[in-house]
Amino acid sequence: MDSDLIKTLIAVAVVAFVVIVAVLGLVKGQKYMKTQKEEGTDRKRLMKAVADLLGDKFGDFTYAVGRYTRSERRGNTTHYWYYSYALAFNAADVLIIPFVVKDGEIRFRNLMPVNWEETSLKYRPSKKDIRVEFSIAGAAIPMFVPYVMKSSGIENSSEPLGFYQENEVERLLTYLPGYPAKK
Amino acid sequence: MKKGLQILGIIIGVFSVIILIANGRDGIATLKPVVDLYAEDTDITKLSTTQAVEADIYMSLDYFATETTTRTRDGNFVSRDNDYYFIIPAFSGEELYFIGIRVDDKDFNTYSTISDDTYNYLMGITDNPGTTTVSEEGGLKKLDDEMYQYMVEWFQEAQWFENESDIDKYVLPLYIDPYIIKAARTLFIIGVVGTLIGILSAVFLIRGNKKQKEQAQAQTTVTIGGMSYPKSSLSGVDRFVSQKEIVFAMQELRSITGISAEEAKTVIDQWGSYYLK
Repeated sequence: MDSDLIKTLIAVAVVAFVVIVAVLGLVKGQKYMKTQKEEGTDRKRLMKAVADLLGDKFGDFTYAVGRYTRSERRGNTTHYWYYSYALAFNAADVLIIPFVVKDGEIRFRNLMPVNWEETSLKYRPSKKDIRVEFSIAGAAIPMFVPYVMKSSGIENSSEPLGFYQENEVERLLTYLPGYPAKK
Repeated sequence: MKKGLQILGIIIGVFSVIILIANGRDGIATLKPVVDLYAEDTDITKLSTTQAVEADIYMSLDYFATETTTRTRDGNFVSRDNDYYFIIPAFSGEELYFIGIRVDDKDFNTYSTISDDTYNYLMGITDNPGTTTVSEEGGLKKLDDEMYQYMVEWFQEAQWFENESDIDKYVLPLYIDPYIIKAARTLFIIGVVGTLIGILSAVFLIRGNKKQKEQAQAQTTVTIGGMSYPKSSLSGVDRFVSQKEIVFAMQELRSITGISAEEAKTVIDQWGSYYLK
C-alpha cells in the first residue's frame, strides 16, 4: 500500500469520524428534546428548584428561561461566557435568576428583582425568540428568551436544559409593553 | 495604561535586540573614528575588524569571487543579486598588501573600469592608474575561509608573487563591506536605546506585579464611599466582575453597601483599584 493511499485513508477516516460524532450528537440532541416535549423533565426540575427558592411567592409568577453569550478577545484568544437565566414574571414584576447546572443539580447564582425606577428595558420579538435587555445605570443584561430552548442533554454544556415554552414566551410578550421601565 | 506602556516597552526592546543582533558589529565599528584607508599613517596590519574605514578606490585587480543571491516565491523566480569581491591595495608604511572589497551590481562596471585601468598601468600601457575613482565607506571585516581561499587562488593563478609564501604575508583575509556609516551608527544607537527601554520596562513590570501582589495580600478591607468593608465580604462581587456580569456585581455590591446604582456602576468600572488581587 503506498504512502499516498495511506494518507488519504487516514484523512477520510478523520473526516468520517468527525461527521459521525456530529451526526450522533445531533441525533442525541433531537432525542433529548423529544423527551422534553413529551415529559418536560427539565421544566419540572427547574420549577421545583425555583419553588424551593421563592417559597410562597412561586405561584405569583410565570416562568421562562433565557440565555446570553458574551465574548471577549484577548490577544489571539477569544473567551466565551454562556449564561442561563430563569425569568419569573407577571404583569408588574420581573425577577432575573441566573443558574447553572452542575453535578446534576440546578444552582442559582443570584436572585434579582427588577427595580423599574432604575431599570430601562428594550425588547425585540422575532420568530424564534424575544431579545430583551435590562439596563441599570448603563450596565446591561442582554438575553434571548426563545420559544424553544434547545439542549443536547449534556448537563455542563452552555445550554444544559431543554424547554418548550411557547405559551410562557407569548405571555411575556403581552406583559413587556406594560412594564413601567425608565425611558 | 501604565502596564500597557510597559508591555510596549518590552516589545520595543525585543525588536531593538533584533536590530542589535543584525547590526551590532557594524554599529560598534561606527562609534570609533573612521579611518582613511589610504592615509599616510594608516597601517592595514594594525586595523581591527571592528573598524569603520573610508577610501577613494582608484586601483583594483580583478574580482576573485561572486556571491549570487536568488529570491524565489512559491518556487518561482523573483530576483537575483550579485555581489563581486574585487581585490584592492592597502598599505602598511611602504609595504603593499591586498584586501577585498564587496561590490554590488550597480558598481560592477565602475570597478571593472578601474581594474582595466590598473592592468594597463601595471603592464606599462599607460602612465598612470586612471582617473576613475569610487568613494567608499564601510566596515573592515574578516573574509571567511572559503572566500579567502578564492582570493589566494586568484594570486596563485595570476602568479603574482615570486614566492608563494608571500601570498600568506601580503594577501590579508580582510575585506571592506560598504555601508552608510551614519545610518549604521543611528541604527545602532536606536538599538541600544530600545534595548535599554525594554530592559527597564521588564524590570518595572516585574517589580510592579510583585508590589501589586504584596499589596493585594496585605489588603484586608476595601473602602467604598468612605466606609470600610471586609475584603472577604466582597468576594461575591469580585466573582460577578470576573464573569463580566456587571449588573449582578452592582446588585451584590449595593446589597452590601447600600450605595446607589450609579455609584455602584462607577465602583464596578474601577473594581481593580478597589479590590486588589
